[in-house]
Amino acid sequence: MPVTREQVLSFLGREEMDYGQAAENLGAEALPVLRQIIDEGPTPMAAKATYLVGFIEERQDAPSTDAAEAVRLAAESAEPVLRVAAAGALRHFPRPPVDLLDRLLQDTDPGVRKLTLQRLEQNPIPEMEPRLRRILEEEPSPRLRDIARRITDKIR
Amino acid sequence: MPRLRDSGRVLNPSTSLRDAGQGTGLSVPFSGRDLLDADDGPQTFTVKCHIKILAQPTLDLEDMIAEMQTIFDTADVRMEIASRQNLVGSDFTDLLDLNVGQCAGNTTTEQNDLFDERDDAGDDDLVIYFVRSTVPAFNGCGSHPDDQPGCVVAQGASLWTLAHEVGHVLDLPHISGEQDQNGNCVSPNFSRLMTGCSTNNITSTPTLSSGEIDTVQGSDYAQE
Repeated sequence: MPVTREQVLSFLGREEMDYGQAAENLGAEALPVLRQIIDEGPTPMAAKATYLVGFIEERQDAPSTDAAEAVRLAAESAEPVLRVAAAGALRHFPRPPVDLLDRLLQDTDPGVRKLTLQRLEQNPIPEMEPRLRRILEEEPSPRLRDIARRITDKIR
Repeated sequence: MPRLRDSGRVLNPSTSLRDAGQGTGLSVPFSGRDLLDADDGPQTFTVKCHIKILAQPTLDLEDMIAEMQTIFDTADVRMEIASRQNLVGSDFTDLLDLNVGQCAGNTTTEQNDLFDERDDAGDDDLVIYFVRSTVPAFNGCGSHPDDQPGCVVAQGASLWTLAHEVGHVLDLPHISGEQDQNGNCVSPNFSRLMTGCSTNNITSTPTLSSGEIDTVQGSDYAQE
């Protein structure tokens, strides 16, 4: 049975939603509705929808194009909070799209860069090494450079 | 109908209101706000709150505070805003989007770092941090390190998130009976502050039950 917008909003509206439980209950069938919420907002709901995509993807046997595209939509938003959510959602992707990580690592918002780097620190991806080397040279935040350094050390 | 918190002067207060005002050192005419804010106000209990802002909430902070005070007035608890401070600078940029894990009691390293920022807050004072977002996204989170009571409120919070999270810090859980065994909100009660089914759907000042009032008054942070 298709998941309705009302069902999804009933989880997203809560003060402290249980993402794991929502992902279990709604499953991948909720992805079209989540994508719509990410697209239409409001921003706080769209941010929660983005994270929920990540929790759903974490439970899938194979990477889902729908999940990646939903997060891409958030990553392209003008709202920093949504781009932060995109970076946060990718922490739950076993195999995140490399081009999306690369885009988020170049984001103007330090919060977005921080979460993307934390994703890579959790599970380094060797293809990202050239970008990480640039971050080591160009990133203004010493803390973010430290994370980049730890990741490059792990990759080596 | 004017509310007690409105700033208009009470020219001819009732005897009980006059007694309450004079008991706090106010002389007639005094305003309802003066009475509620008086150091020795009519409420039996006081919770001292310190506000620290990393990111301004989307809704008016004063409205959030006023709603919180109205709700806890019904529990005979005065919510005193003891201080306000903006937390800016590179030390706080990393904490703008605060990792709160599952917000289920335990705290993350980022929460511990932020909650260390208490300045002059007393041991039993609550420190409320307004952040841009939490990771993952919640409206707020009432988890705090031991001996550092407080909570976090996200920029996109509802009008009642502040009061709801403070409710958690004062030992209030979500009300029961709203969700089925799979966590679906089958019987939401949006007239209650501690609904677990979203304060976004509350339409007028929510209530505390008598049991919740007892819990709040018995909290370590409600000072008599």
